This record gives sequence, C-alpha cells and structure tokens, in this order.
Amino acid sequence: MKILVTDDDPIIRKLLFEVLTSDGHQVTVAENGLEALKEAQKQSYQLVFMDVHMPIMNGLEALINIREKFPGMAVAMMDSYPDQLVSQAKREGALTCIHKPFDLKEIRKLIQKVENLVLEEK
Amino acid sequence: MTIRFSQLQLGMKTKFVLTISFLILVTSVILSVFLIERQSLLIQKELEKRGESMVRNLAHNSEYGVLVENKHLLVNLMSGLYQEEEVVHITILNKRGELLTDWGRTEEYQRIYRRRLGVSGQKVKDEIPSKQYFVADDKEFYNFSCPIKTRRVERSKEEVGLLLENKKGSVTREEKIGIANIGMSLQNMRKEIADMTRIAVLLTVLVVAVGVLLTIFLVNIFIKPVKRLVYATERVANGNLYQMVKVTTKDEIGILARSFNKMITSLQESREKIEEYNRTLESKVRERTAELEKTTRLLQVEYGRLEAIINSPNLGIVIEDKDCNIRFMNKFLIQIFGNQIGEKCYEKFKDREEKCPVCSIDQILVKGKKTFTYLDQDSQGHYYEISASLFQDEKGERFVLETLRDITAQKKLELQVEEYTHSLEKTNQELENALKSLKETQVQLIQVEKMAAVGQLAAGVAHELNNPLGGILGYSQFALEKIDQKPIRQFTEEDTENFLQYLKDIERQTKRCRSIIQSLLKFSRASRKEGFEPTDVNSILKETFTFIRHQVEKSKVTLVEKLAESLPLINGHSGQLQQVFTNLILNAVQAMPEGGTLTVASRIREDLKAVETSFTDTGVGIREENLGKIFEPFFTSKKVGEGTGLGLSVSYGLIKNHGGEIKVRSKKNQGTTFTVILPVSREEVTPESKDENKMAISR
Repeated sequence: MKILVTDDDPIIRKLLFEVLTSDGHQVTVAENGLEALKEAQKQSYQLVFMDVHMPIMNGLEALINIREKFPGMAVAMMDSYPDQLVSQAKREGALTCIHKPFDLKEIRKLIQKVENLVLEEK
Repeated sequence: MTIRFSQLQLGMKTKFVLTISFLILVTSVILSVFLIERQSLLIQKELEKRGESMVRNLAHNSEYGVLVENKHLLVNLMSGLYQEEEVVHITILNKRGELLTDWGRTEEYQRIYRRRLGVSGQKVKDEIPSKQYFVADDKEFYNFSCPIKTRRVERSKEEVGLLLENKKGSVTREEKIGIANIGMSLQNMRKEIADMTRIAVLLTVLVVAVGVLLTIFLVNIFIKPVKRLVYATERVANGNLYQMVKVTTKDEIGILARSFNKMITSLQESREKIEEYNRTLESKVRERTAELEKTTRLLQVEYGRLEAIINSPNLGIVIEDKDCNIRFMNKFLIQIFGNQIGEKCYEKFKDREEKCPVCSIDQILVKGKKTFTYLDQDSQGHYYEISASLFQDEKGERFVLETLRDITAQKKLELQVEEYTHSLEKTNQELENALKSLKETQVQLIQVEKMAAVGQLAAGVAHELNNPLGGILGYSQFALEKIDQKPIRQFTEEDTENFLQYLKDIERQTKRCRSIIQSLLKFSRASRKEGFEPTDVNSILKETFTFIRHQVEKSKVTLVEKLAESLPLINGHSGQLQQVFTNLILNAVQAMPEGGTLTVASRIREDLKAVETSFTDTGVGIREENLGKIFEPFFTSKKVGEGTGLGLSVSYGLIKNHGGEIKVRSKKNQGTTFTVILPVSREEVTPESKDENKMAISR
C-alpha cells in the first residue's frame, strides 16, 4: 500500500515511516501541506496521514486541495489538540482524525479499513 | 420746424417788398396823374387867359380904327399879334357885324374860322360868344371875342374948363362899335401836355424802380439780423446753447438780439444748473435706491421673520374683533379648526352659543388691560396657554391678538411625570442592581480573558507535548512489538541497533517533554508571583515565545525577534508582563489571517530611562476611528465568541500598573505597531545591569 505521511515534527515522521515500512508499506514523508501536495501530484497514494497544525500550509488546506484534485486518496488527519481546524477537516471529507499521542493499533486498524475499502471498490 | 421758419421768413420779405413796391407804384401813379391833370388844366387856363387878354387889348386898341373904319390901321394893330404862335386867325367886325378885316395864318385856318363864325360875304350871321371851344378837322381851337367899345359924353351944359363927370346932366355912355375875334389853336398846348406827361410817366417809372430797389436793399439790411436771430434760434431749439447772435445794430432787432443772447446765457446757466441738479439728483436717486434696496432687504428679512413667527409650527395666532369675530388665523390653527375666519370664536373654538365667561376680548377691549394670559381648553380637549394683547390696524380699529401655545402635551407630561418618577426610582434600583452584576460580570470577564489566554497557552502546550508523547508511545509500542515477534536473545546486531535507536528516541522525546513541563512550570510560577521585582524583559519575551511560537507558526506568521543584547532591569511583575506580551502577540497573529511577519523588538530608551518593546505586524491594521477605542473595555472588532474585548484594556491597566505606557500606531492594510514602554528600575544593584547601563549610554 502506498502511504504519504505529512507532519512538521520529525519524530512523528520517523516513527510512522519506520513502523509502516516494517509493516510492508511503501511510505513517503512530507514536512508540510505544500510538500504533501507536490508528492501527491508525483504519484498516487491510497492513504495520506496529515497533521493539522503545520507551518507554510496547514493540514486543512492540504486536505481540501487533495480532496478536490485527487478524490481517490483517503486522508486521515492527525491532531495534537482539538480545535476548529480539526472539526472543519471532518466536514471537508477527512476519513477520520487521529489524536496524538496515538496507539500504533489505531494506525494499523485504519490501514486495514482503507485496504478493505479499496478491495470493495475493486 | 426749421423749414416753416424759413418759409415764413421768405414770405415776410417778399410780402414786405411787394407791399412797399405796390404802395410806391400807386402813390406815384396817383401823384403823376393828378399832376398831369393839374398841369394840363393850368396850361389850358393860361392859354385862355392869354387869349382873353389879347382880344381885350385888340378890342381896346382898335377903337379908333373901327370908328374911322381904317382897315390899314387895324391890320397894323393886328400884325403885332402874328408873333404869337398859337394865334391862327384874327377878325375885326364893325357894329353891324361886317367884316372889317380878317387874317388867317393859313388858308385852312381862315376857312375853318369863317365857317365857324358863320361869315357869309362880309357879314357875320350869328352872335359870337366871348369864349368858344370847338373841334374842326380833328383839331382843337379856341375863339375869343371881345366887343370894341367907345365912350360918348353927352353934355347938357357945357362949361369951359369944367368937367363934372358925376353931375346930373353929364352922362357917359359906352357904345359897342365892333367885335374883335382872336382864334387860337390848341395844338401846341396839347403837344406841351403830351411832353409833360411823357416826362411825368418816365419819372414815375424811375421813382418806382428806385423805390423798389431801395426797399429790397433796405429789407435785406433789416432782415439780416433777423435771419441771424432765426438761425440762432434754430440752433438753440436744436439744443446748442452756446450760440450767440452777432448783431451790432442798436435798433429793435439789436435789442432783440441782445435780449436773445441774454436769454441764451440765462438758458445756459439754467441748463448747467439743471445738469448739476440732474447729477446731484442721479447720485441722490442712487443713494435713495441703495437705501431703498437696503430697506427692502431688511423688510424682506423682517417679513420672513414675521412669516416664520406666524407660521411657527407650535404657536397659534388669532386676531378677533370686539364682536368675537375671527379676523385672522394662522396655519397652525387652520390645521386644527379649519378656516373659520369671519365666524364667532366661541362657536368654533369652544363649541358654545354665547360668549365665554372668561373672555380676553372683554379684558382687553372693555376693561382696557394691556395683556391678559390664561389657560383654556378647546372643544377638542386641548389645553392652551393663551396670551392676549391689543392690536390696532392702520385705521385705528382695535382688535385682540391672541397667541395660543398648545400645552396639552405639557399637561399630559405633568401627569406622567409622577408616574415616570416612580418608574424611574424603580429603574434606578434596577440599574444599581445591574451595575452591581455588571461589576461582577466584569471581574468574571477579566477572569475569562485570562482563561482564554491560558486556553491558548494550553493549546500550545498540548501541541508541544503531544508530538513527543506520540513519539514515545509509538516507539515503545513498536519496541514491544519487536520483542513480541522475536525474543531478545534471537536479536541480530541490526535488531539491537534498531532497538537502541527506539529507546534513544524515547529518551530524547521524554526529555523534550520534561523541558516543556519545566518551562510551563516556570511560566505558571511567574504568573503566580504577586510582587514586583527587578525583571529582565528579554527573558520574559523568550519564555512567552516558547509557548506562543507554535500558535504563531501554524498561522503562517513569521516571528522575527530583534531583542537588544542586554537590557537594564525593570521593576515588574513577570506574570502580568507575560499576559500582556501573549495578548499583544496573539492579537498580531489574528490581525494577519493570510499570514505575514511579526517583528518583536526590544531596546533601551535613554531619553525616557525606559525599556521599549514593540510588536509590529503586517496585518489588516486598525481603522482610524477605532484607534481611540481599542483600550476601552469590551471593545472588539472580532466576531462574537472570538474575543472578550477585554484583552487590550486589561493589558493597558497592567502596564499602567507598572508606571509604563502602551501606545499604538496603525495604518490600514499595512499593519499595526504596539509599543510598551516600561521604566527602568531605580534599584539597579546588580553589577551586571550596571555594566549594561554603561554600555547603553556609551552607544
């Protein structure tokens, strides 16, 4: 599965890259929303992890852009505290929102869910 | 006009000349005719006289010749008469009428005379008159005859030498002894008369001609000054008043000319006077016109004022005569009662059939009061305060002028005032209560504002903490999973290396958490501090940035720090200052929804002996009309629920509390700068800060 991890905090990027790669996924990382958009344009992803609060382009804007240009990509938001951006992201078509600090099980469950969805579509 | 004048002049001259000429002609003709007649008569008379005289002489002289009948003697006598040219025929007859001698100048004359005298043979037939005029052969003739007499004295007694002529007895008797005839021709006389007449006619013609010429000449001389006068008169009539007449004669014309000149002079003077009057009149007229215009303007103003007064929207004006008839109502009253001019006031205003018991007309016109003021109610229930006064029109007729002020509302107000007073007291109580609860609310709101700041801090703290916690949780779970999958004993070197890496990450992230918690604690400790103490503004700013940086960066705002290398300490409350700085930074971030740059700078203000901190954003700016209000409590330009409107007012209070100032400078769409000035602490004791001061001064 192709997964794009977007977070401004290097520890989260590193953690998710290592965990998901070891789970056998193809993982790319981006530091902010703008980078994520560029990556999404380069290749298609089944799932995008998107931090909400990021400099340059925040997760909400990136989400709106991705939903518009690549409606096939599932976007899961990640937040470190709930605020307006988070609730708006849900309305803008985010698959779900994972609250930090998250459980790895939660991540895997989400990936499973997306895989099922992809299979159903097929 | 001028043409008629010259016609008259010409006519006058012609008439004058004609009249004088006619008179001269008539006089001359009459005179000459008379003279000619007279002269002719004289000549004729003289001829007759001469003829008579000649024949008498002849008769006398021929006495003797006839007596002796001596023909020769008689012819001798007669020959003396031949010299007379006019004498053409002479005869002498004897007593018996016989022709003694006869002589004719020519045969023709002899024949004419013989026939005339009736001579047949030697005898004269007829008696011959003494003077006879006759015409023969177209010629005129006179015949004069005279008897020839002789005197015979018959003496009865003859005495010698004694002659008594008158004595009786001696009678002298005359006896006719013959007749002498002299015939004269008138031809010479006629010739003379004709000559004379010719001369007279010639003379008359000459006199008439000379007279007429003289008249014309004289008339011209006389008329010349008149002409000048007429010319001058025309010029004057045409308006040239500087036309003098040059007449030097001393006659009536001269007098007239002088009078005319005098008249012109006085006319000139009159005209100058008139022009002078005109000029003064014009200026006077102008003055008067200006005065009139001024007066008119004043009157218009006055009229407008009066009209405004009469039509003032809340004042009734009515004029009534002594019989209570309404003579005038202003618009205000007409709007209420309709136009009732000519009607009785009590009928229309009060709905009564007779005079009111209290009547201003009685008071003013009968009792003679100057003014009379009273309250009254009309038929429609309105209350009026009525002021009546005497009003006289231009004819002196007396009226009553009433001004009515509708005080219904006032009356009603008076009634309502009590009610209102009650409710006001009630409201006052309520307001006091409200004020009390408002004060409570204010305290609460200040608390809320503080909580909002805390909330924003909490978000920052959560973000700062949850990321490393996420790392810690993730790596510990990942590590546990690895152990689950493969016992540690079976770990390859790579596995161990990875595992160590996970643990190191966990440690690093945990330390990160600890550091955050520590600064949070420091921050909260600072906010709990009650007292003022020497404080470094830069360190407070740096602590504030720690918690605020995330908030700032996530809003795409670049935070630029331009802090002075070292600052003198100020006497401050670090908690309060943190609150102020947090508030100013978050405000700046909110002013830049599209992102931007926030520059925070600190510097020494030597002139003020203070530390200045400025927060400059590149945001939307504050509207000019709002600049004065932003420090007021509850003022906010944010949406409901986004801000309490207390942040800046609280900050303002806190900085005042520090003896400092907070200022704002803003330009629409360019950004805002908040400047906080805090006075340097007087208790500068630490040597470090002293050094800093020296440095600052040396700059």
